[in-house]
Amino acid sequence: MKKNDLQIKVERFLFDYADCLNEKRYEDFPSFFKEDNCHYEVQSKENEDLGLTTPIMGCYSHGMIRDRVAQLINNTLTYRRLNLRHFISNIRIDEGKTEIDLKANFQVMQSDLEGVSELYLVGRYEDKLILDHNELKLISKRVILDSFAIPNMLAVPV
Amino acid sequence: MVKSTDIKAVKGKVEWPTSDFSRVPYEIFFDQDFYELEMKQVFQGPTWNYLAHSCEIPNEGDFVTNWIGDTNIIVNRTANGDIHAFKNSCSHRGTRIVDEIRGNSTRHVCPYHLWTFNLEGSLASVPLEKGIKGKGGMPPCFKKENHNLRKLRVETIGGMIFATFSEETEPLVDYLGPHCESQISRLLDQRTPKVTGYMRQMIEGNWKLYNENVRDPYHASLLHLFQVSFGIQQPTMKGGIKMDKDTKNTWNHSILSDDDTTSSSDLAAVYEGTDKYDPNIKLADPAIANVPLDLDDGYKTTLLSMFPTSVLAQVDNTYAIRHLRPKGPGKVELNITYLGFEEDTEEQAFGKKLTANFIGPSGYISMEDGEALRLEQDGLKMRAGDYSVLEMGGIGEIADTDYLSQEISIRGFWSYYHKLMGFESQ
Ligand code: FES
Ligand SMILES: [Fe+2]
Repeated sequence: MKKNDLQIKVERFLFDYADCLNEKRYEDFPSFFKEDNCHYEVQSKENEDLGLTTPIMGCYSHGMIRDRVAQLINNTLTYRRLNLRHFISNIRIDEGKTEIDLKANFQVMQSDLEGVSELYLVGRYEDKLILDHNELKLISKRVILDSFAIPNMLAVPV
Repeated sequence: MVKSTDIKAVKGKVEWPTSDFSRVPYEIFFDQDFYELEMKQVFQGPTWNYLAHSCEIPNEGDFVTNWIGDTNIIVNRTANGDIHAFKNSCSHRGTRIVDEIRGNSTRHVCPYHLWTFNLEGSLASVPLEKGIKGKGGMPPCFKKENHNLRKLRVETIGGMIFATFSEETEPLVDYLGPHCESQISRLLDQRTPKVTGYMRQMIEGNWKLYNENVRDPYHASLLHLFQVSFGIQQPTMKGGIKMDKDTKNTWNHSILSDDDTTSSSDLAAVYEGTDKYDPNIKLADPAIANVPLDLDDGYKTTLLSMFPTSVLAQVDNTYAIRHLRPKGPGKVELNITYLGFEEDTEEQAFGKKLTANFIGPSGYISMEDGEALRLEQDGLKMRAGDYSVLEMGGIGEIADTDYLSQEISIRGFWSYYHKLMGFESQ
């Protein structure tokens, strides 16, 4: 694939990923990950810079990723109903032999049920993707938060 | 800051209608005057406040900055291994000296006029103290030894470093009491703790609501359905609460043994009429719930709540120190120091990475507390002149229990708070 085409494909993938979360289609979230080999981790910039490895969220199998959204889908979790919107920018890819390294910045705004909006999270993605039957799948997604003093709670994936 | 002449007036704003503290005036959670009085009476008063774990500052010059109430404190290690703590505010004109969370430095230099302080917080040098060519300089009456940083008393237990502003504060072990002493030893002295991560959570609630929350096993199996579903804490579980002599510190624990695992139909009865409990919930990958406990003494949770702002917690196989930084009456930052041990095998270390998903701002077990406290703060603001109700487990005497559905230890917290704030002499 030409570099430019791949860039467009990856951007589309990220925007679809963001829409899945923005639209609260949590049951679709696991499908962005490669089923037999995937990680999802949310880490603070504080820990990342100190080389500390305990994550805020850490899923090390497809099952754990499904478990992360299970309580949201079956509605047994007490959490704040907000509308979240992801803004993703500075997307750049490096194509390896088998994997695509992806880096991007993101910002998530939150809007409450009365329509008041504020900044929720800022950070960066460090992802590894592969092309699986011409479809992009995440084998690793690391969400590194600059805003690691989490407002209230972080119930949903980023 | 509250003027001392006004203190009586501030305290007179509320009443405590019951002597067993089964009623708490709501203003105490949102009125700025009480917050300011707390900064003086509680945080600058005869209390021990957690600052860091000694494993975070192993070498000479290692420092951490942390908060006691609204006050930023530098804590560091000197050449002979001693730990010193002092206020992070210059004795010259008040400037914040260290503007980092952690680091290493052989001395602390104020950025403004470069006054330099040693690792004991004493003023070591003042640039141009003698002036230049006989002109300027400090007056002859200026004595460096009169201008040290405000030093705090420091004591440690299990490596946890505590400090106090007051000369009156009793020795740390007496302040914490026997249950804290034995549990800190159980959790931190048997192995060599090391920090494996930090987590921070901004909670839109008063710092005392968090203190109530950690002394409230009643909510644990009702708000946190995840841990019910996976047997970490269930309403029928064995356990209890034990307090120190002042009833300010609580050891709250639960024990799970095979014979008292509740059947899911019994559990369904507890949650009848709510839609929270789903008896069919199963983990797609159960690895996270199958991490074996490091210690084989059967405690599923151990929560040591130490007045006013620290908690040492073992929740399932997680070990963490929590510390509260109040940020005004309506907000508190929860700082969590997640611990592993030098002795951990690779497998145990990975297990702790998995169980980290239980705690913190995204923790399956604990994230809901942030939300509960936000809603509580939002709701109680409308209730000036009214009181919260603490009757679960019984009213009257404040005593230890061997059951979990209780709010007695919350009343224990209020009893001591009431005394420390000087409400008694009202
Ligand atoms: S304010 Fe610190 S040296 Fe002047
Ligand atoms: Fe809780």
